Amino acid sequence: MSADPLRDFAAGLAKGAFDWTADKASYYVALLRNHEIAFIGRIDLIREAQELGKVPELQFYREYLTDGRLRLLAWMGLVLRQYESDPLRQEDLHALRDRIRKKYKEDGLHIAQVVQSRILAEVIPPVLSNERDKAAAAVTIEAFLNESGRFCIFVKDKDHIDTRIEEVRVRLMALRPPLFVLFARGSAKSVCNTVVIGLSQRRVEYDIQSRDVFGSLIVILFRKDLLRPRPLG
Amino acid sequence: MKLIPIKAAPKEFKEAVLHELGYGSDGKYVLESNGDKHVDPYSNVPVTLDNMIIMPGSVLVLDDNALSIASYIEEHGDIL
Repeated sequence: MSADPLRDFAAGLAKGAFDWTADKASYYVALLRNHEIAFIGRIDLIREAQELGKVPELQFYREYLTDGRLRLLAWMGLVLRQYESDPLRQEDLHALRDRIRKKYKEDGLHIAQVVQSRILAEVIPPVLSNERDKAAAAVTIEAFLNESGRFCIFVKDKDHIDTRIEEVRVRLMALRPPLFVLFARGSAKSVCNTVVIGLSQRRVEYDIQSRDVFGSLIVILFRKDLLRPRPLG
Repeated sequence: MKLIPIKAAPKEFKEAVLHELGYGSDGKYVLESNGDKHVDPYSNVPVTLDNMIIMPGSVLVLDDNALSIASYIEEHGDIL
């Protein structure tokens, strides 16, 4: 026994000897304040968040996101995707969505879902190739995320097609965003394709690119007057 | 950094730790010294005894979820 009971206590903990008696609470708190311990819940939540915080996809996004809120929501988008892919994690999925919404409102959840759905991954390369440099691309990408509640629509299979077409057309005409995205999966993809045909027939001044990404349909509309001319040859 | 799972600890122990940190409890929720429910600053949800975690250093009592954990890491670095 040393002269320092806190050191003795910490040494016991290191061997896995947790003493849950209430009179030891002050020892635990001293170790907390000294950065020696943390009281955690589920270790899988911590390890998963840590790992997803380091994946190349998030590092790539962070090159274009300077705003801390957007960087965090991009991170949460990856966590949502991870939960969504596991049928046993649906409770975690709903709980996280609830917490994102409570803290960052509906707009924040929408931004996380833009990442979850791989929309951001599809948007960045063409924006990069169209902007004069990385800094300009970052401005466009951050603006798109911040406005994604208006300029990124998740098409549903029960959507009324003519209403959707008119809604998108009006937003494009009135707000003239640099880019606009439609996203659909499953049976909503045919609805989305019909919306795209309708927009083409109405001659919106946007270049329309559709991609199938992991079984989802992502349609990116670029404002034509902002497109840089491609080099000849 | 030793990560200690607190979920399985007896309620009396959790309440004693909270008391040391200047918090209270009504048996379900973590309470501020004025009796208000303690709200996790990173996820805006009231923290319960069942779902609380306690981060080191400035000693933050948080709800156990990925948003709070990631927010803590963003602010304090990945020290866990």
